[in-house]
Amino acid sequence: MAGKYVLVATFLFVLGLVTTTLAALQLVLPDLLSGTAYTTYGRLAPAGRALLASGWLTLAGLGLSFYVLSQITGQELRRKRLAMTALVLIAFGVFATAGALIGGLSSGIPGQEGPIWTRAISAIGYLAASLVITAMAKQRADRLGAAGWYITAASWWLTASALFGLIPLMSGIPGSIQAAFVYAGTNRLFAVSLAVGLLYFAFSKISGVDPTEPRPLAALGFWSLTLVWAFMGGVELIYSASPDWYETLTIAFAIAAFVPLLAIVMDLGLMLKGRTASIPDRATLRYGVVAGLALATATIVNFLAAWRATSGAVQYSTWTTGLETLIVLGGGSFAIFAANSVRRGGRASGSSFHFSWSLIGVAGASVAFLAGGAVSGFSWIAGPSSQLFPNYGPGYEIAVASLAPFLWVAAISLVLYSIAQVGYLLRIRTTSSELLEVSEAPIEYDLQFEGAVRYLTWRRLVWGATAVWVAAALFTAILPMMDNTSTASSLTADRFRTYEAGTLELQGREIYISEGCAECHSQSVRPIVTDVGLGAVSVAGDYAHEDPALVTGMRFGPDLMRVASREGFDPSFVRSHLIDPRSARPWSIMPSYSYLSEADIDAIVSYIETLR
Amino acid sequence: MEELLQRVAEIRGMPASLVKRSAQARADKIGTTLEAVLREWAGDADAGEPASAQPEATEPLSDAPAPPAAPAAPAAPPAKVTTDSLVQLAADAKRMPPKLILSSATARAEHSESTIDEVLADWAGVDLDELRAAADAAPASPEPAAEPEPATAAPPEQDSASAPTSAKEEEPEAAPEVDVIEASAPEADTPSEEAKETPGARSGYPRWLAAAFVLIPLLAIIYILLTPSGPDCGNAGQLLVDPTTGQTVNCDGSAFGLVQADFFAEGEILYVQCAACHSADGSGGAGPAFTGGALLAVFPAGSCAEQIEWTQLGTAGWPDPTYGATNKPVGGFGLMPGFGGRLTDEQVAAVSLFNRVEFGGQPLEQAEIDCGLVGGAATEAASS
Repeated sequence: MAGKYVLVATFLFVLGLVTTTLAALQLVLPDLLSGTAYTTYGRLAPAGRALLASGWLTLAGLGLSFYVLSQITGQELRRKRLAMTALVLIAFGVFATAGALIGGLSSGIPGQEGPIWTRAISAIGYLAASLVITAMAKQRADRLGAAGWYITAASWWLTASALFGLIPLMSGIPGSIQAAFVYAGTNRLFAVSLAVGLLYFAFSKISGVDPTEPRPLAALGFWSLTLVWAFMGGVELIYSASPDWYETLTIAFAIAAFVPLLAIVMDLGLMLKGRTASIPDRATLRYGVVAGLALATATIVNFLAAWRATSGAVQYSTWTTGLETLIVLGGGSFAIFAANSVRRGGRASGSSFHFSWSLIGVAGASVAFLAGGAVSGFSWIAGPSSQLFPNYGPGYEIAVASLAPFLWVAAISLVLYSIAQVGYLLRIRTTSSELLEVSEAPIEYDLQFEGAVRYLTWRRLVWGATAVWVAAALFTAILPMMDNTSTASSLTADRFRTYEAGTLELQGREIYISEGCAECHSQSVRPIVTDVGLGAVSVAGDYAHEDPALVTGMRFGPDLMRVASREGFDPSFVRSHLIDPRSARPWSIMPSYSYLSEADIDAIVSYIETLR
Repeated sequence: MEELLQRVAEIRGMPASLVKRSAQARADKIGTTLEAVLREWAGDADAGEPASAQPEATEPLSDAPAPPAAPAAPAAPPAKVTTDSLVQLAADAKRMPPKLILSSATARAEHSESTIDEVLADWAGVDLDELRAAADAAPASPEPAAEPEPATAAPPEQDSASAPTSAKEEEPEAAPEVDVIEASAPEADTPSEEAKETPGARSGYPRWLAAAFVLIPLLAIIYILLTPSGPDCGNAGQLLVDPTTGQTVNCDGSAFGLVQADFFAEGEILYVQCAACHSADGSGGAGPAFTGGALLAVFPAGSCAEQIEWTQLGTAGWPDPTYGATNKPVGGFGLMPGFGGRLTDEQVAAVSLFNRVEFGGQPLEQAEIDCGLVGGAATEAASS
């Protein structure tokens, strides 16, 4: 069953990589395949993300979870039919999500761009898979070991977050915060704990340590990791109109994330300490070490993105993309490679070629995104503080020009990474499931000793994991709704940013969402130097009538929060800019929207005119 | 010598070769002879003097270069029978990590309503009472806890055929975890009783880790307490938002990009240099007083320029025999140093402004014009 999951996941992986790489290339070659609606950047980018995060990472992760649990429990997979149902549902859900996004049916909710029905299908699939995992795990409930805790809890967090995401959102900022919580649950908490669980398994297998061995440092790492990453969604909302206490909470947990980082790195290090030289399975070891490094770097990047002093100085678009690359393609994929390498006996041919090219790809892409974010971030500060050029209109050329070389490096790195995966898949021949002999005799622990089971019992796992998730939901999704300041509408919202059914403005807003304009354009003026000149600072009330609010932190293009009230705003320029972005601004990286009908362009322009 | 070695080996219940190695390591460390160490371990009183220096000498744990090689330690007979030592004995007997032994023993003791020590002694295959009696009879070491040290100090990288091989294989893995328990115990969300009862800290485990686990959450909490409602203006790039227009402005409310110079505040800081002679409250000292109208009598309204010049030149540089409206004789009160070389023109003007307003009582706006620092001089940074 694990094989089937991995097979389907691999297919989605290739598909997602092609989509994502194409989108990355479009950032440097804006005219690449931009003639049709189905290949425009705003549709490809979210589709690629969905295929990689909800498709590849989730399916391969769940499949390997089955394998890991059957190894830990020493039992065959149970409830095979349910597992098969889960596979079909998840795969169908992901395909439908990607298809819907490419077909222009985006929900506009950051992190959950797919329409609600496709997400519902996936969520039911997650639920089924979690039930299978639980059935497996319960056979050895109190002696799961670190890998077992992570994997079991991760599947349920994924399910709970995905189901929570189906609840209709609040409008405005509370909705954005709610979406951030769901995103943190599926793309952060799940992805990170799954990767760590697979790493625990892979490292214990190759070093001959009993994976079910009770490790106190692992227990500390487990609980602190789950606690902090459950609260991590708000990084993109720092300095936005979200409540200050929410941002403070996000930053505090970004600081606290160094506790699990230290605990897990130390614990995994102790597993390997003094025996790295004698480990026969070099391939798994290399994959695992890179995954660990990527997750450690992600923790640091997440902290820097949340910490106000640094977050105000970097470009969010590239930093969130870089963080996403580190977690999904770095930590997630490499942990999956490691666990899969164990599953395949550590002797798949071509793994060193695959390893080095994948490493170059991931490292190149994430470093380029992060460095580019820092460089263009400083160009954003330079403009307003010298008062020489603003961060919109013609002044945006500086930001685009300073980012361009980094985007090139990132796109080329992603191409390398994709080539590595395709090459690997073509070269896989051996399917031996025999493990390489571990030279050292595995340590024998007598599990009859009662104390061994105490670090994490099944009851503690169930109640603790539930409590952490509920606490995160309460603080980062329910509480913001009760915050009056973020729900009362402002004058701007009442006067301009109201979208009645049947109006041209609403139609324009729907096109703005379906074409993925929010992939590059934020709608949020922050009270920091980079945003001086963009108009009045956004307050929560400005978004009160928008569901969902299109805040986001993405700024490959300039912010559009108050675009219509800026000096020199001209609707006719917007129209010509949409059709041929490089006629007036040769440096623009915006795709051409000439494929839209005249009426659609009219609608978008009238929507843009409401952004005051 | 050989006989001594045998005796120690017997007492300690460990192979003679291991004893010799441990003793040699101890001897090298505290700078004494092998024999002296062995004698001391054998309980011979006549070789006592190097022994008394021991506990301190063995303290630096960092000196032990090796992974905490507990393997030899368990065999050492404890000078005092503690749970720790029993754990080591039992661990050695069962060839299992001490950590597991302890947690298991705790659980077993709870179930069987006996003490942990009894359970451990049972597992170790020793008679608890006998051991206690033997320990009491043995000469009390100044610091019993330091006793297992000699074995720990033995460099384990040297191959020793006589060392229990299986234990040797296990221990490098298991030993770090023993320490791990202590570090995680105060922090872990699932505080386990057995963790608290673990033996004392051993080398090989980074102490900073335990500190970090406390410090990091503490930092996070401090952050929450300090900035519950976001950072103040000026911190972390934060600007002030004008509540009526929604535009970002400087922290003092002026339009963004305008640099508002506060010369009065600048002068107040610079006055520290004057306070030595004129005192902090301007009441004078080695130099004349400014308060009580004295300053404005010498330099009345409209003559700030002369005050600035006087401050810049001082008594040594002043060209005329007198200065000020009252024609005070230069040097009559003492030596006024010239600040022209030390402070810029603007700084001298700022400190003069401060003097005139703070001590002379001249209104701020008038003094600003007087001293050439017009109207708070809002200078537009980007206007150039």
